[in-house]
Amino acid sequence: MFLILTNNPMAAEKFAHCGEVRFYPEDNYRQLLIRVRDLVYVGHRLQNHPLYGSLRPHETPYRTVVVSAEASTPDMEECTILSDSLSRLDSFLLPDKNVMSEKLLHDYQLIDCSLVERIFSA
Amino acid sequence: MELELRSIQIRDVVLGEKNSLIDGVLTVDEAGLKNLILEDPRITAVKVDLAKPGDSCRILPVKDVIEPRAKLEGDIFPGVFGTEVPVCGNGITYALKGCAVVTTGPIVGFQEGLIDMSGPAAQYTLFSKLNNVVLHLTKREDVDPHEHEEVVRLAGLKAARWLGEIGLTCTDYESAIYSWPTLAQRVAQYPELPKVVYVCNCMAQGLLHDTYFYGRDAKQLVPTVVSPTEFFDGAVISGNCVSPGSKTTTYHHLNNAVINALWAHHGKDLNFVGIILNPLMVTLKEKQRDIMMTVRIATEELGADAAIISQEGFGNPTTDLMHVCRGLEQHGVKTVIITNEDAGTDGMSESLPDVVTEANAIISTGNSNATILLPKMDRVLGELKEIERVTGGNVDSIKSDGTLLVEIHGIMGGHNLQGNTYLSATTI
Repeated sequence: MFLILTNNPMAAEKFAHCGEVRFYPEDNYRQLLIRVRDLVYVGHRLQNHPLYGSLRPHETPYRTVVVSAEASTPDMEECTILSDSLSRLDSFLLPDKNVMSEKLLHDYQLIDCSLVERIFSA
Repeated sequence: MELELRSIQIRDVVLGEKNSLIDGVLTVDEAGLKNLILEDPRITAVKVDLAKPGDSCRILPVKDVIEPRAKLEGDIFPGVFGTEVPVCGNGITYALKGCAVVTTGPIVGFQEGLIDMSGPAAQYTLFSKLNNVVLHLTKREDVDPHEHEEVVRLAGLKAARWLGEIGLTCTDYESAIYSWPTLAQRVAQYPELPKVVYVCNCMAQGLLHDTYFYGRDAKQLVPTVVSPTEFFDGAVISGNCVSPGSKTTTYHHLNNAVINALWAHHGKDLNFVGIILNPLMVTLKEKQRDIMMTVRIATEELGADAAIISQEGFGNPTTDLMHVCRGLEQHGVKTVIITNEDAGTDGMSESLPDVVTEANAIISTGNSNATILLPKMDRVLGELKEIERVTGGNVDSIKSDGTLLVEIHGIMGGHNLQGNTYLSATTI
């Protein structure tokens, strides 16, 4: 019932039983949101806000956004949320995973999972 | 409800062998405090330090700041300790002003921000003006990050309660009575004045993004009517460790600036009729539910003529903020919102991720992306290397000469969204 789009390896593993995971390890935050946007534009319903949590886009490289597996009529409000989030992203310099320590990457993955897991229990 | 708040001014804090409070000097039994903290078997070590206004001292990463408080009868921070959830918001509460408990120690990356006790950053945070008892905690190795957050949160609250109890026998206090009769009585009291409701947004999203209400996780909460005196007694506690500049610490909740301002005007030019605690969730459906409920309680239950909304967090909470504002305005409720802005280091970018045309009265607490160069400090409490992982800092933050370049956002409470800050906007 869910499509789970993520560039977070921990989320891809942890939420494998919660829906269809589409894992894009090479995507940055913006690339991932464009994939989400394209699904929302054809009627998949957005489950979590794309700017969930308080980590800023120039800090965490990881994002997990969930949409409904089924597509219906596109929701204009959700389309607007995606567009606004993408334009908001463009004022940030996105982070480079290659300069981050393994510990920091692990922590960002963990926080990402913690923020998203609510979707599957709410 | 009626609460007497007895405020005791603390002018200095010293470490000693026995707790005492004489002539505004708080002496803390250092060994006793350590033993108290170490009662939790998940903590293997605790270091107690003092950081005072004007010291060449930097504290980071800060998790929470808590004002010491205690109740003459009953529990401060209700629902946090013990097996029962006691009634709060009534009776007599003691508050030690001018001092605080500050918790530090790495949990996961990017925890809280920093507090400088002197220098330029000290001008950005009210915590630099306090005598701070700093707890640096080390956890047992097998304690995972979620539990570690709880360990540090509880240790800070326990210490603040313990220090607050030192004030219980003090007779040199300033008393303020907060009387909060029923809604019907409040409305009838000042029928000619506009009824004002305060919407207190609070984060409820996950690890280091949480708030606790009567000790319970606010993710399980729906928008709830809370009295001002419940805030004063610590019914609302911070578990939100990301976004230090715009973070609502427990200190901020206890001394909620919007509540204090509304109270000062209550009965004069407005009628303060209620507070709605509004949890900011991750899922869109919960956001929609909470927006709808907050608007409904403010309009149909409390009968608001006007409203103030304080914000917490970054990004998605702006959607909650804007849509509650829209809903209220569409019901004819004049609404003011308080938020910070993320306008880029040059201040030229679009500053909010969501905007509605009904948001026509916004108080900005500043641009969080503006950067500031901080001088090296003689003493660092906590771990300087953590700055890479503190919001507002990065791998290049620590310069070779020991200075530190951070965003304003990295300074604890730097642009607090309840307006309890030294930053403000000016027209140029």
